[in-house]
Amino acid sequence: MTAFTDAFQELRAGWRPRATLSVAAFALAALAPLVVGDARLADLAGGLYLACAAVGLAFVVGIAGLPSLAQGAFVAVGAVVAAHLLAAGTPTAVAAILGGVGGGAAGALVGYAFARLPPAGFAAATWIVSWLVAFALLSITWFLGGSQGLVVSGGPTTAQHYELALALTGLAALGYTALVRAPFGLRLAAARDREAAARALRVPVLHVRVLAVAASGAVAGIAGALGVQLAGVADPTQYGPFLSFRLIVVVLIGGALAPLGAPAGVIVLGILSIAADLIGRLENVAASRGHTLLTAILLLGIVSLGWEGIVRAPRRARRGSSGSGPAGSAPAALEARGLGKSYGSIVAAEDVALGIEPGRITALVGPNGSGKTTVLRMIAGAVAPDAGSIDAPRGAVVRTLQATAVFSTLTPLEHVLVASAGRRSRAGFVRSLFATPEARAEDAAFVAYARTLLDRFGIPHDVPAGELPVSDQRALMLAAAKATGASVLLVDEPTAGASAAEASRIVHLLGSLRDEGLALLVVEHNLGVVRRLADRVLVLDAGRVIADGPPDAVAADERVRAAYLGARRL
Amino acid sequence: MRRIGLALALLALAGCGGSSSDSQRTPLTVVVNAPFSRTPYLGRTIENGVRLAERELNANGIRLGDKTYDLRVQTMDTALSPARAVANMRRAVGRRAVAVVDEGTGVDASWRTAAAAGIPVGIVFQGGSGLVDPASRPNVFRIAPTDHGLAFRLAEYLVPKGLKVGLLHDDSDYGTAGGRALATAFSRNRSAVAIDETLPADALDLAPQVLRARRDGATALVVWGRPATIAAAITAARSAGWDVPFYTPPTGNDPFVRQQLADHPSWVNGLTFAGGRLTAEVGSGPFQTFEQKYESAFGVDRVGVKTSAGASVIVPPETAMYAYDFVNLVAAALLKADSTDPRKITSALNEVSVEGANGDQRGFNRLNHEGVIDDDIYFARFHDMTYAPVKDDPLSGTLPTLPQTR
Repeated sequence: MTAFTDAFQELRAGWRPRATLSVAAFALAALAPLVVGDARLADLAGGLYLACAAVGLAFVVGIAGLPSLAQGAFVAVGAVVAAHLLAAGTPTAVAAILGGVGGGAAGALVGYAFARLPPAGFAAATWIVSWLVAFALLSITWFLGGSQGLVVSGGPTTAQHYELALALTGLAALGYTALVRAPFGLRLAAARDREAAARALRVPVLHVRVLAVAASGAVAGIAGALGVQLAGVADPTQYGPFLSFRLIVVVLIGGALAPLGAPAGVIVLGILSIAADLIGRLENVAASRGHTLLTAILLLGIVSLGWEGIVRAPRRARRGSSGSGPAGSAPAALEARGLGKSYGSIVAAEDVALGIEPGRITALVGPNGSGKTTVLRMIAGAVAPDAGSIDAPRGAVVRTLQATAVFSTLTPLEHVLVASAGRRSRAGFVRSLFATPEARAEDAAFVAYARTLLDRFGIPHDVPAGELPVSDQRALMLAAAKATGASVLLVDEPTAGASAAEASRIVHLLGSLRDEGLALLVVEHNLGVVRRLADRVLVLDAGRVIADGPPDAVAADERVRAAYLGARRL
Repeated sequence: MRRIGLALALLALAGCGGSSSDSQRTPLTVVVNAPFSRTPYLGRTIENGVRLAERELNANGIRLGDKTYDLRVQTMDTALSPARAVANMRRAVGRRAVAVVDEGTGVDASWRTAAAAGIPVGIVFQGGSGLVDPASRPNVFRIAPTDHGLAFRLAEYLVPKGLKVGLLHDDSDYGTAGGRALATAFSRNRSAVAIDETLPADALDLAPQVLRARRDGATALVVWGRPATIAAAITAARSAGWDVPFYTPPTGNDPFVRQQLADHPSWVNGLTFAGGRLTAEVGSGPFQTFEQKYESAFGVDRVGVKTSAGASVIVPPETAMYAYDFVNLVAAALLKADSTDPRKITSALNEVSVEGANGDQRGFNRLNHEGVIDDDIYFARFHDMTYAPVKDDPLSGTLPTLPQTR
């Protein structure tokens, strides 16, 4: 009962006029069977199933940043599975669920195969998948009975299908909303904005992308399964690449970043269809060709204008609580011995040994090309060493990137939530999707923790990170690294390009992290910063450690002066 | 006040005007469900047949009780998609159609939608064996040669010639159904079959499949498929210098075949197709009368090719004739039922007959919903871009040649 009360209060606190409009629109739409004839109602139900599949696609396109052109193929898989089951007398609900499983499995397969590719490659690969599925459906008559189709009879009435499609579209939009706000959605968005930075914060990029494409495929599969029963026939010509094309157009028109963007896109496409019919009648062009033509023209217009869609992404405040946030990280040390790495004939690192201790800052310096970043990447686990070993507790190490690398569309608060997601125990896909009380309570606690951390680092909470000053972005990178809960922080050139004031701020923040008991390894070019910050300095030259000790001792080392410092003084 | 009274009186007078005037007639919708966008010639010729019947019937209207009705034709494009055919049928039901004239695509799925509203469906092109069944699909009728009839007549015609036949059909619904019919028809004479091969319907080059038939010893090819498939098969054979005779269902007479082969008119020579005969026992007079009416209404359907003498070749309106006959049967059923209730019209269709455009009696009964009997199938062979009934078949040999040039 308390959980319901909490949920209600949370819903009320987050209620906006847009939500009122959406609910009113759905309520009004639910009355359509009272005033619309059977044929038009079937068209509307078909459009809603299309919208349902498009909501799934919008999540993959908008949040995951994967321009999938295979959504129509997932709809087809659901339709094939359901058509055979329905023809064998399976109840509609079971056929729909298994259609969803089929679509989800196909999505997982496609995601696993292609989610590593850059967006253009992903689009091309999924487009080929669409064609393959279309060819298979047309040429292998077992799938859908060839060009006469596979007849599916019985099941819900047209009005029932309409209400079902409306409810499913609403549920898909709610699922979209829940997942976008959850760590799952934030991790996807982070990987979309800057994949390398997301990986550095331990985001399992491939895993979350595969899950996103699979979830999208499952939604498409359910829509395909129910759509085929509505149509009364599984028709292979309905699942060609043009279906995927229409779905992506719908998403782009409506807006991929809003849960109701895709349904809005379907409405626009419906209006265009009517326009195409009218133009077709005037110009004696078949409606089916008019649709294709208009859709293609529309897409070109969208692409050329850089259109973001009719419905913009809602930005919702996050509730914090005084609940327990993540536990503090236990102190940990890191010991590396005999590290070696070569790229062909070039030796990037050779027999490098270093120790990073809790409550101390170790600086790694050296001239350009001396192997600092290679060593850092080996320690972070981003590059496998050719030789040597690294001893550190599992999950204790995190690194920041050399360049200023924030997720430009996420707020600092969301950055910290992305970074801390790995420490959460009740934020899995299913819990997030259903927004369970445990998931919401944990979310509130982590939000409170994130706000506290951001206050400590002096970073605003709720503006897009891309709009922050560079020094705030640098500080945000450190805050995010801290939020991962790692005990060992590898910081790559934190003051590169920073003004004196900005460098002082970074030095202060790094010092405070050291004082907390974290072990830090800092690669830095600014020797003044190194002297103020480091407890110990390692100097690399041509991949080998040539000096190791306190800053003053290293500064006095003749080999260091000769090889690296030259005439300058540390 | 006087002005209002005068206006009301005028309105009342207008309302009491002659009940038979056009403005007082009640429209009855007849839907044409055909692939207008994918096979435009076929779609248009079906529509024209329906519109011709509509014009003639609307000249006097259809009088039921004290009301007079007009037919109104609405076209819907299936684009050869069964799903669209079903969606169109829903629209037809929504528009309270009294009948649907259908090319045949998707009828396996769409007939239920029509049946739920009692609407009769008249197939005027596809001849698939499962499409029509008076017992299980009481609202589905057909006026078109059946695949079964065409295939058996082809077997009956070819087997005695001692030919080794290559049976080629494409993987379209039309081709697949035809392939099944051919397999059944030739099943008692398997020794006459050199090869049974499926062709990809959208392939541009069928040389591998056609030449495989040659290697397997075929001395004649029966190609059952869309017009594009037939044209591609002929091109493949003739390009390889293989002068094998071709036999086809009515799609061999589609203008598209001759258009595709226009650069090589000699390749069309010898192409023989099977079709429902256009002329009746009384001769070609009735069909030519129909053809004249058709041409005066819509002009001639030109193939787009010329004979060696330079005459423009036209297509006799065969499929239009079937559509025309079905609408006339529906009109007769309306009168018989004395009602616009589709269920009563469907029931009455089992009891009426009309004189068809070719002079034959057209009609159905409760046990038979086929308007073209298998015995009415004849063969015609092309020469110089026009065709004439063959002389080596008992039925075809008695039929006159229709003029096909203008």
